[in-house]
Amino acid sequence: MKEKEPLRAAIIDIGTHSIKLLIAEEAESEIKILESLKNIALLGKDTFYKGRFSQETINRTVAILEKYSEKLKEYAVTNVRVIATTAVREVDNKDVFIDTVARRTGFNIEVFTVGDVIYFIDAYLYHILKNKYPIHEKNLLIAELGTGSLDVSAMAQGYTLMNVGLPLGMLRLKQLMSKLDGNLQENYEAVKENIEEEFAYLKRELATLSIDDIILIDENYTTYLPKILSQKSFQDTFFQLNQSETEELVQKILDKSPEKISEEYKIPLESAETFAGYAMILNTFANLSENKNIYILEASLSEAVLTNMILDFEISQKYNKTNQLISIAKWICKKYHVDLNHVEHVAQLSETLFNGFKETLGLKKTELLYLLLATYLHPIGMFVYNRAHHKHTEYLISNLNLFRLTDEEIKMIACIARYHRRGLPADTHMLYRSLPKDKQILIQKLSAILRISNALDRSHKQKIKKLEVGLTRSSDIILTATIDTGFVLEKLEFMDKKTMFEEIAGKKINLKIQYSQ
Amino acid sequence: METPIKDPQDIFIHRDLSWLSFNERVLEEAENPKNPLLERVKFIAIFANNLDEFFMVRLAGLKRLLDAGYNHKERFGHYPQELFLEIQSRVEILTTRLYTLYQEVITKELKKNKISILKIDDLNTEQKKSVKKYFETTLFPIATPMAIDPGHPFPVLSSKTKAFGIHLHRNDNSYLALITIPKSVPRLFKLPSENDEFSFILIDDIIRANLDSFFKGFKIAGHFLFRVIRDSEFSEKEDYSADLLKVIENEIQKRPKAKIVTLQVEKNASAALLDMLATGIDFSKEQVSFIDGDIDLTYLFELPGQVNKPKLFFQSYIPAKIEYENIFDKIKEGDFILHFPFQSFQPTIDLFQTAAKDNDVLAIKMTLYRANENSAIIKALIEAAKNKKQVTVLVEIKARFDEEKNIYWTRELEAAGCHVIYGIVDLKIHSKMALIVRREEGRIRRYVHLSTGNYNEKTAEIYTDIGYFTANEDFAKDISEVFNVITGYSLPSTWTRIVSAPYDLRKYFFDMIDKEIAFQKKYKNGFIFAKFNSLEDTKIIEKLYDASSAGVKIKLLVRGICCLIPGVAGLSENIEVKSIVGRFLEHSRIYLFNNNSNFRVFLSSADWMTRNFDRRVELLFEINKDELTQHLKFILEEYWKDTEQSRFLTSQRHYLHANKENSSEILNTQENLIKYYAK
Repeated sequence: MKEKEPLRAAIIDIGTHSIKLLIAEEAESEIKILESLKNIALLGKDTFYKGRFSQETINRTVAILEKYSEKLKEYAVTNVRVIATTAVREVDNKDVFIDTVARRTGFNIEVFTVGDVIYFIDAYLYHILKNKYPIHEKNLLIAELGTGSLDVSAMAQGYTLMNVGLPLGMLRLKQLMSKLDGNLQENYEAVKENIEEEFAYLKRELATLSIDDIILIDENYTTYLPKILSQKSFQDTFFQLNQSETEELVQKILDKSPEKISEEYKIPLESAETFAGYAMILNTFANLSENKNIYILEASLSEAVLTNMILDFEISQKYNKTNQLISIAKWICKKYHVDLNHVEHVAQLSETLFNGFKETLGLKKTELLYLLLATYLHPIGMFVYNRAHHKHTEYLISNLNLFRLTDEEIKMIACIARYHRRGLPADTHMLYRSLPKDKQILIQKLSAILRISNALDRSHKQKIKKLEVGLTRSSDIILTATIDTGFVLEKLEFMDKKTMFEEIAGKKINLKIQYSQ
Repeated sequence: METPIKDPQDIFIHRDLSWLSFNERVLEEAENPKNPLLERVKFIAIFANNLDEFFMVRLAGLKRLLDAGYNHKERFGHYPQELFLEIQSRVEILTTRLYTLYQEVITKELKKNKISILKIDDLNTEQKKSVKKYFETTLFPIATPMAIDPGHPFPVLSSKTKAFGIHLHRNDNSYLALITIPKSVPRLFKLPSENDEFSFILIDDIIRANLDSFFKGFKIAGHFLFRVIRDSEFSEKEDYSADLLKVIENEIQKRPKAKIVTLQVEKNASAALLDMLATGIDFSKEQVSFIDGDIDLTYLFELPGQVNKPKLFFQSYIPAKIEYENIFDKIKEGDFILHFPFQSFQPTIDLFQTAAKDNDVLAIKMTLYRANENSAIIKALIEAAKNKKQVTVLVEIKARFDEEKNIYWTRELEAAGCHVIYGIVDLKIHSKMALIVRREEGRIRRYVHLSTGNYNEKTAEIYTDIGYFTANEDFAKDISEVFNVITGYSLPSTWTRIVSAPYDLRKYFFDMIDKEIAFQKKYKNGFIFAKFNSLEDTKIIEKLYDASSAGVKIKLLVRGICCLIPGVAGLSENIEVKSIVGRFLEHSRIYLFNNNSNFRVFLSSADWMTRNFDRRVELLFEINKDELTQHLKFILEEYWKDTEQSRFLTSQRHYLHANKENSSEILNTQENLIKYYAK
């Protein structure tokens, strides 16, 4: 019998400042790290200073990955993921880089979105905090401090409301500091202003949310905190700080140059250079939450993903990707003053129609998510202006940062939402044209469904109690809507909006009304 | 009040002078009539070989400084000029002692035991016939005569080459010619003799008797044997500080080839011929060493192996074996140590041989510093690579005087598919470690072997070393990361079970000594007990002086160089130094710190030398298993008790034999350990 070896896995994390390899295996429902390798590769320097990876940087990356490939053989690891974050995500020649690495090393790089980062961090937190902290009962800000960006997500009772990558990674702060030409105090003040300005967006976005706690994931700086705040130490998993302590931290170091910080607290100069920025970020977080705690966890994204690979944990069905995305979509709806009752009702109708037309239109189960998100978000363009609001919807959605969705998926959702009214897709529509043919067809199918479901709530009064999809003897489609009040407006709208569907499906679609008892 | 700066000469023994003292102790073993005769012969050969290496490295370095006109005191407080004179005078005394011993004692003793190294005139007819045949069939074809004339300039003779300088005449013209003594055949030729007799002749003498055969038509006006020793150049870097190294390197760059350090010539050499030779090889005639006897006594290494007289050797013994069926299971049962050569080296070999064949072994990594010819371990690595295991071998190609040997077997390893990595520029990898990655029930288990000595089956029979076997995960993680760092796979990380040079080994030892000082101040129980090969780093010596002044008791078993002066009031009155030179070469490094009566014991590949701290990759690791720490403490205590093979270093910088103080109780620890482990 072939030996079963699902227990061992590896992750290669192509970061902003270094490339890491972790190899681990399962040990008593936890992971045991077998190998931890790190090599410096200054990808972020290229991305943030020049916008492109130089040939030298690409070659260095390939050389490191080739070494790691050898290391994987020593442990016979086949379950390997190669992830990349900000530096690769934001570089102009991303595609060439990914292609070169794949050709020369056989490794396929997954470029993580902020949503991906947050997803794995949330899942990891949930895993390690299971019995220690009620993560699904709190309103939390969860942040991962990287060298490229500070990725933040707001989570209410276990559901993500939003996620955002703030350009406050440590390399970015270092870059900023190197350009400032004031004296020490003036430069620190400028860094503080920059951090506060970036946080202002968070503040505005979260104005209506009462945050219970903040969880910060950081693998680089936390270890030095006890050297400065000597009364504090790690408790169990966390290093915990309150507002007055972050204030104390800032006060202790703000009159010191990086060299002095390094000397006095025995912090390597490289970390000391950005430590003031780190302290200010902590303090700004603390000020967001009004006397709540910051829990700092010394972990890394790669550890979180690797844990997920080995222990194969998922956040429960309740908190799966679809539900997280719908939660985010609802949060966006609130922000754009969308009639939530309407979109929720239309979403239900869309789901019913999707399931009913699945076979006819050759749809896959996974594609329902695009329809649902487009359904929730289709009216957001009204926030800009009611005329041609479908076009406003399109560009608003296409510029959203949607949890764990690729750029292409977001574009598709934007198109599906756009075509819920007025003109049909055309080659003159730039966004639509930018997508591959199969995606264009899918957009047409899903927007045809959205047109019908949206028409069935034209009055925004949620009149349909039940909707069924059936076939007539002549194989036409018949929708049976159970209602208990007048449906004239919806019927008229249905007749207007069904054409697109009929063209795509090659079948007639009729509406049958029946009144509830 | 400021402490007056002490003259380094007052507080340190110069490392080269201390080394000469060590070699003198080797010579004393050759002189010691209690040692079996052929063992005394071996000690002579060791002494002679040691001295050659000293010339090639240390004396060569010193000469380079002199040539470069370096005129400053170095860290031990000596000017190069005065040190050179001191060394020269001591070497002369030792060399005279060596030849007196060999010619007046050993040769006679050998004769009494029917072992002779004969001259050509002493041979009987049968022996003459045998020599003639050997010359004609073997020596003549390989010994190449070289004429020196304007068309044939003086050839470059490699280091340690012996040759005859020959003065030829023809038609009133004089010529100089050379014949080198072949290195490809043994220097001792065994002669036919009676059953219980062993007779030999040096091939030098066979060639000497047949010089005519090489130069037909010429008249040989005179000849003599000589030997050149050259500067080894590439091996000494780590022994010098950066500024000295710069001076030396600049000097080397000016020269096309390695300079001759010593020219040894037979005593009866004619002045005219010597002039021609000295000019030819560009060596000052005033510095020639005249040898009254056989040049290069290292040929005595060949003698014991050809004489079957067990009574003339140390009593043989079988190294103690440990019981196990599978080495991996044995390690899993618990960490263990092996003490060589009292215990068998076989489990170390087994570890690699078993790993090579084991289907579940995925990877083997190890450092190889000096390996023996036909090494079973190297064969196992080759087999492992052929069995598709990931084999990484970190070869230290710079192991002094072993370079050529190393290059040969590294090629073999590479051909088999091993991943061979050749160390780090300017950083010699001296640590001895191995890591085996094995799949057990789907999971990874890693086995670690660390040692104070090399992976060399031959030296494991004569060097005392300690090997440590463990499957401890923390050790595995640390060692794996050390490999990652030195193979360039990763940046350094923080390690939990090991301390390493050149990162933090020095600091760690300093901290441990400081702790003892603190314990001494608080509890009056500061104590350091250590055994290693050389104590040369002046900073750690000063630290030990501080500890001694604070009252910390320090016992040091230092086999070789010791630049610390013990027992000096106000400086080192609490320090005792003992050196053991005996049947086995003491090589294990054990460091014990009392730690307020919760003693801690460490093993290491490192001595307390500057090069170990700053210019080598070394490991120090603590043994935590109670049973093992107790045993290591026992080993140290046993060595300290020795009276037979040990000498105390006095405050007057002399080594005094331990048994002179208490001759009633003679204790030979090396012999006792053989018996102890045999139980």
